[in-house]
Amino acid sequence: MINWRRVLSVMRKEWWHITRDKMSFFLLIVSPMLILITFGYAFSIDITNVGIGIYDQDLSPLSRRYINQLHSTDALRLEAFPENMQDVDRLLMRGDVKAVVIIPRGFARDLQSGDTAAVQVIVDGTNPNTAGHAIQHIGAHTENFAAKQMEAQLRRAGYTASLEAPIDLRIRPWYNPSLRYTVSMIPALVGVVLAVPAMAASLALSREREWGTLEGLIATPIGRFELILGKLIPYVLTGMLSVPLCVLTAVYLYNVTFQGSFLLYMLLALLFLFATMSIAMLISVFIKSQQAAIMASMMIFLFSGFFMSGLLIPFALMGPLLQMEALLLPTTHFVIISRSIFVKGAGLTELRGFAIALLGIGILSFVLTSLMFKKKL
Amino acid sequence: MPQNCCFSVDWGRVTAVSPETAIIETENLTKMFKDVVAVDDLNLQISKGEIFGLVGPDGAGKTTTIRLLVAILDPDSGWAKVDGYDTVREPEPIKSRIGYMAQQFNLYGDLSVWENLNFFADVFEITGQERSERIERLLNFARLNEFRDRRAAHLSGGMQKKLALACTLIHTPDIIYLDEPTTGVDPVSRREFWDILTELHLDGITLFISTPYMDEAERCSRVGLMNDGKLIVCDRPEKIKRMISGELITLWPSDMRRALPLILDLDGVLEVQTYGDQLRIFAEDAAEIDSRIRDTLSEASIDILDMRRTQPRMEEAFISLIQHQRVEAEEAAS
Repeated sequence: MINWRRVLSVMRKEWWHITRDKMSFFLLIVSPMLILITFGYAFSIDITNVGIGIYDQDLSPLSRRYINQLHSTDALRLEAFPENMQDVDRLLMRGDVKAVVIIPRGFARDLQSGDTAAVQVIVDGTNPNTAGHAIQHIGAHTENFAAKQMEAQLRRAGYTASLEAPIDLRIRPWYNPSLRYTVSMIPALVGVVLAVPAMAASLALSREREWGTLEGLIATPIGRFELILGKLIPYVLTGMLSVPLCVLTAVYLYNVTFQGSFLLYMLLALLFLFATMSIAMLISVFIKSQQAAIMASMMIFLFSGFFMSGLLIPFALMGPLLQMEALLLPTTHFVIISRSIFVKGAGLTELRGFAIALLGIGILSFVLTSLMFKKKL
Repeated sequence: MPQNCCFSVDWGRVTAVSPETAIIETENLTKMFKDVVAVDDLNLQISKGEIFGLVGPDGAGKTTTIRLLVAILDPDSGWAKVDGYDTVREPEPIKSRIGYMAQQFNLYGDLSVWENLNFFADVFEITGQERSERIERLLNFARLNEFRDRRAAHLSGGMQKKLALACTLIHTPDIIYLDEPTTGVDPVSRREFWDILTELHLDGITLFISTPYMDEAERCSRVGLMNDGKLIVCDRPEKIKRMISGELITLWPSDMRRALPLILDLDGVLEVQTYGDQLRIFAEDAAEIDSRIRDTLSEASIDILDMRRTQPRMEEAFISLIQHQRVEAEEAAS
C-alpha cells in the first residue's frame, strides 16, 4: 500500500527545506560539534599542576629533600614559600595555593633520631576536587619519602633488608591506563551531543502546521506513513553528517584515541539517530507550535541527555525509577556504546543489547507517530 | 424564511438536483467548537458542474463548512457526502477526487513554482509523460510560465493564488473547493482569476467557492448565504435579489443622521440600509412614498441631493436577509 514514489517525493521536499533553511542545517550538522567543543573543555579537565605553598620552618637539608620529592611530578606545583602564618592565611584566602605544607622546626632532627616527625597540611576545601587531588598527591609523596628515610636508617643500623610489602599490589587500569578523565568524558559527551540533530526533526511537522501547508497536505490522498517516513529519512541521513565531525573533534582536539571500528560506530549512530528522531517526530505530532516543540525536545535531548544518560551521574547510582526512565532514553544506550567503541574498541557482540534497545525505541516511536498522526485538523 | 430552500425551488437552467446527480450533499451537518456552533444544521445539495458560492460575513462558518466537506474535519452530528463517499468513514477516496485551496497560502514558500507543482504531482501519483504535460499546461493556464523557477514566497499575492489553484488542479479533480480565493488580491488579478475559474466551469468541474465579495457571488450559478453557522438562503443570484420585499429607492440627503429616524418612522417603509452618504429605502410602493419623503425632509429642512429608483443588488439582498434573521433569532430567544 505504500507508494514509495510519494515517500521519495516527500524526502526530496524535506531535503530542500533542510538545505534552504540555515537554522535546520546548522542544528543538524554543525551544532553537535560546536556543543562538543565548548562543553568538552568543561567536562574534560584532568586535574594537574595544583599550586601549593611550603612553609619550611626547619630549613634543613632533609626538609629540602622532602620538598624536592613533593614536586617530583607535575601533579603539584610549588607556588609560594610563605614565611609566617599570616602569609599562609593570605595565600589560601586569595586562592593562590590550594594547600600549604608546613614543615615544623625539628623535622630533620626527629627523623634522624628515629622519632616520628610531624608535617601539617592545610587544604582549601572550597573545591573538593582540587582538595582531594592535593591531599592524594601530598600523601603519596610523603609516604614515598618516609619509606626512603626508613630504608636509609635501617641501612645505617646495619640491616640490609629492603622494605618490601608482603603483598605486591599492582594495579593496571586497562583501556585508559593513565585514568584520564577526558578519555572517559569526551566519548560520552559525543553520545549526548549527537542527540541535538533530533531537535531539528521535532520541527518537521509543527513547521508545516504553522506554515498552513499541513492543511493542504492532509486534504490530499498522501498516506500518513508515507508522510512520516518521508520526513524522517532526510533528517536521519543529514544528521549522520554530524557524526564524523564529532568523532574527528574528539580525536584531534581532545586527543582521545578511537580504539574501535568507525564503521560500527556509524552503524550504531544511525540507529541512535533513528531512535531520537522518531521521538522528535512523536513530539511534533502532539506539540503544535515550533517554539514549544523546540523546548520539549531540548528538555528530552539536552537536559535529560546530560543528567540522565550516565554522562554525569553514573547509571548505577540512580534510583530504580530514574533508571527505568533513563533506559527509555536512547542517549543512555548510545553513551555506553560511544564510550565502549572509543575507549575499549568494543565490537557488535558486546554492544548487541544496546543496539537492539535503540532499534526498539526507534521502531516503537515511529509506529506510535504514524498511528497518532491524524489527517484531520 | 425558507430554511431548507434548496429542496423547494425551481432551478431554471441549472440542472435539477436529485440524489443521483448531487455531487455534494449534507444533512443536518453540525460542527461545534466548545460552546460555539460554527456550522448549524446545514442541509445542502450541489449538483455536478455548478459554481456554488458560499457567502457570508467573517465568522459565519464558511471555512468550517469547507473543511468539513474536504474531510479534514469531522462533524459533531449530521453527515456529508462528496461524490457518494461519506466524509467521516471514507475520507481518502474523497481526497483523490477533490482539489482544495485553503484561505491561507498553503504552498511551500521555499520551493519554486515548478518544485511545488512537481511535489503535488507526486502526491497525486501523476507520472511519466502525463505529468510533464500537465505541469506545462497548468503553468501556461495560470500564466506562471516565466516564473517557474521563482520561489513561491517571492511571488505576488495574485500569483501565489494562481499557483495554489494550479496545484489543486494537477490531478484534474472533479470538484474544487476554494476558500476566499481572491481575498487580498488586486482587482485586475481578481478578474483574471475569475476568468480562469470560468474556464474550469466550462470544462465541467464543480466549483465550491466561499467569498465575502457580492460581485463574485453574482457570478455563481447558485449562492448560499451563511450567517452565524446557518444557511439563511440558497438560490440562484437573480432569485435572491427578488426575495427582498418592496421596491428600492436610493436617497442622498444633506444630513444623514437626522434623516434616518424620520424616514424609518414613515408608514410603508419596510427597511432602511445605510451606505456611506446614501440611504437605501425599501418601501411597499416607491411612487407613493416618494412625495412623503420629500415633504418630511423639507419640513425638517433637510435637502435632498438626489433620489432615484434603483435595482436591488446582491449586497442589499444579503444585508436585508441577515437583518431579518437577526430579528427572528432575537424573537426566538425572547
